[in-house]
Amino acid sequence: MAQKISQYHTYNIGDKEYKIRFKTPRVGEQIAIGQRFAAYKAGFPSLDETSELLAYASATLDIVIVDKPASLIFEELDTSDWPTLRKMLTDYQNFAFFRDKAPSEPSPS
Amino acid sequence: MTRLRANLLRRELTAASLKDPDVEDDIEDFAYQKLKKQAKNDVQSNLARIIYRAKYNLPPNDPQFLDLTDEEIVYELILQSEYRKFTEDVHEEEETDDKKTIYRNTDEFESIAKRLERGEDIDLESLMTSEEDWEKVDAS
Repeated sequence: MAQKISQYHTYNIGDKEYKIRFKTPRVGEQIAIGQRFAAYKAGFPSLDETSELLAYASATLDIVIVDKPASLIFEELDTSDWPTLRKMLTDYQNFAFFRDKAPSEPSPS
Repeated sequence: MTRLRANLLRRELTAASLKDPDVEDDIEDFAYQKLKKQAKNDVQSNLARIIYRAKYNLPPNDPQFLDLTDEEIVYELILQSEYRKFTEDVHEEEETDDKKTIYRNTDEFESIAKRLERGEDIDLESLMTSEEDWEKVDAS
């Protein structure tokens, strides 16, 4: 049994189109996700739900995208691309097996 | 414990003390209790990984362990469990009464039993292992 890789998904971020695949992370990669998530949150006593979700999505997607395009930098995304980021995370979670749930959906304000 | 870590813990302990006056002002104990809580949570959320490491006696930073996916870990544990059940079933099957009956009811046994029922005189001793096979023992 090997690491699972998803089908291609297409997303439009900024003015670019990305065709990407997801993979199930290994234990070491999951630790790396946790460390990145903690690093994003470091220095903040608490984060609002949106920021928490963005930090989680960025930390996760940075690791689980196969051959991540160099131009796809989640920390630099425009707010208009946040729904796409959320969609990417949902697609990944639908594909992955035994994944933890993402932080709760931010309530509409 | 690094100085930064100690400072962060001290701040956390102070904050906890403000909320709950019963919290003792012992930073070492506070750190220990925090680790204990974290370990309890880890056991609940990563049970399969911990069972796997314990089963194969692997440290948490073992490269082979870090290179596995959760699916592979769970699959291996299920596989081992199924294998154990399989071997137990085989073992139980060997000891059932059915097997013993089959062993006793060999063709030879049945034919001898029928001949005895008909009243035939059978030299049962001839059916025993020949005397040459027995080792002579000096009784003196």
